[in-house]
Amino acid sequence: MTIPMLPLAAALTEKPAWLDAISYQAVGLIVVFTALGSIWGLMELMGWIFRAAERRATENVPVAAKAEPAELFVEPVTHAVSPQVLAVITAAAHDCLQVGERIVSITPIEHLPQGDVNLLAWSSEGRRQIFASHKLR
Amino acid sequence: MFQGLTDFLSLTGFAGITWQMAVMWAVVIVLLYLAIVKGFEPLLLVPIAFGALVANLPTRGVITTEMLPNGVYQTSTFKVEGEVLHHPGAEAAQPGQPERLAVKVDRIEGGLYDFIAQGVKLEIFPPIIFLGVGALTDFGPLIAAPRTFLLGAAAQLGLFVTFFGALLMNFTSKEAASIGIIGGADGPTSIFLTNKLAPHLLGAVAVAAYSYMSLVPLIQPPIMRLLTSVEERKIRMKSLRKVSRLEKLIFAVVVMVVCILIVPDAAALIAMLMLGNFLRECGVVERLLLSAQNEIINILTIFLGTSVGLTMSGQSFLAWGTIKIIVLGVVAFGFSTGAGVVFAKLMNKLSPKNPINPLIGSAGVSAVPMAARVSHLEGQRADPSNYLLMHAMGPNVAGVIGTAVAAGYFISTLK
Repeated sequence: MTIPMLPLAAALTEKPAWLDAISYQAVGLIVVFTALGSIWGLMELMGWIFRAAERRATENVPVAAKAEPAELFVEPVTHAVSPQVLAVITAAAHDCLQVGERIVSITPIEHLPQGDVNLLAWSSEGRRQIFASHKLR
Repeated sequence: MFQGLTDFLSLTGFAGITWQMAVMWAVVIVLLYLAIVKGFEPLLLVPIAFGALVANLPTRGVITTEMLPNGVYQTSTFKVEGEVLHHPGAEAAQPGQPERLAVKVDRIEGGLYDFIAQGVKLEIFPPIIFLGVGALTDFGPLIAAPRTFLLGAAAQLGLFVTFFGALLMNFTSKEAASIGIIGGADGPTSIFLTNKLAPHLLGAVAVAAYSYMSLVPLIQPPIMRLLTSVEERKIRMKSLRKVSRLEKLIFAVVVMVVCILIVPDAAALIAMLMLGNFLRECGVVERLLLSAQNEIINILTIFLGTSVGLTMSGQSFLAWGTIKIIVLGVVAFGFSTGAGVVFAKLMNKLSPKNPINPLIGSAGVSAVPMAARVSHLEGQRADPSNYLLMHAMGPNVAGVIGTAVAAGYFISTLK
């Protein structure tokens, strides 16, 4: 659906007077702050709801665990990264980035949650190339 | 034989070379040097520079159509630019017969790039590029810290200040808006807005926007250091919470609805940005996502860049107004950067318990992800173990939305 065009109070002439121009800028900034401020408010509300739901979920877990301690199950770590592999990844990152970096986490590609690994790799390559095009000096 | 050679030479392009073309070749060499040797935004500057080179050669069939030997133009739809000539001595048309007019034809559009450039003229390319941008962008840091939306809004101050500066430099209000949008550091939005309001400035605005985007690491740090103390640059921010997929999906819809309700003229940009992001986050349309992230955005980038470059003919680009646009562009960038930093400091005064490192305020200009990386590196200069990158991504992607909203405001009030 399209909306009809209405004459706006903020509309400017080709060569506006100073005062008109300043008031036009003020209205523009108010519009931008209103739009982004509204989204901020809605996102805070959404975040509060999701955090509350998450809190409730985590509060329930220990109670269940206490009730049946025999059922506790710890998943064995089958894909632990060996110190040698970690050293190689760190060296490669250092060589590539040439700045003081710190390896925060390593995620094997087979641990990614969704989809075919090859397709995800192709997607990641697109992202990498776009980001790499912004050369940082 | 000599006559044949002379006839052939008259068909070559040498006679069509002008001094403006020669100057533009030098401009093209500078742009290619910046893109290839210096690595400044090569994805856009290479096609723009190449398009500018083609625009400044005496071509046939690229931006004008070609006439076949039988006198028929090799195109079915074209635009004729010319003027009706009056012949006082011409006989008046007989009753029942059509009036005969003499027309002097200056230019007939319809070449290869006249058709491809319809994507710019009809405002198709920038929104489709936004589809790819949305598919590539993770809004998670922004959803985890939504107050950084305000930094993205504050950084739009540069647009409005430059708008005023451009008015003072004798540009019209439509031209001033097209120049001011450079401060948003968002190429597709700059092209979208300029094409609507001041299409004759398209080449200069696009080149200024992309050049300054690539110069973010040089322009921003001095302003950031000037406006912050060492202690402020060392501020550590709380870790961001993990955001669920459902939150990201709701976010895409909420942003689209709110922005379109407030500025319907930004609908094309915002809707495509959020469509791309929705494809990314919904997780069930992988083939569409891959196309948006790779093939679509890459193909469109080639066409957009060359189409913009082709608007840079010497006659229109070599003007005093272009230099003024370049100067105003850097003013816009400076003010946007400074406004983001100062607003972050203001937020710290209002909310001292959960401080923001003011360096991330400069990332409110929407040069994604470079502005965020500059904030991160400046933070690490003050404290090498302080990691600001993900915090800075929040205002950075908020800046994309903020610039689109500002563009919608300009379009709705000035078109």
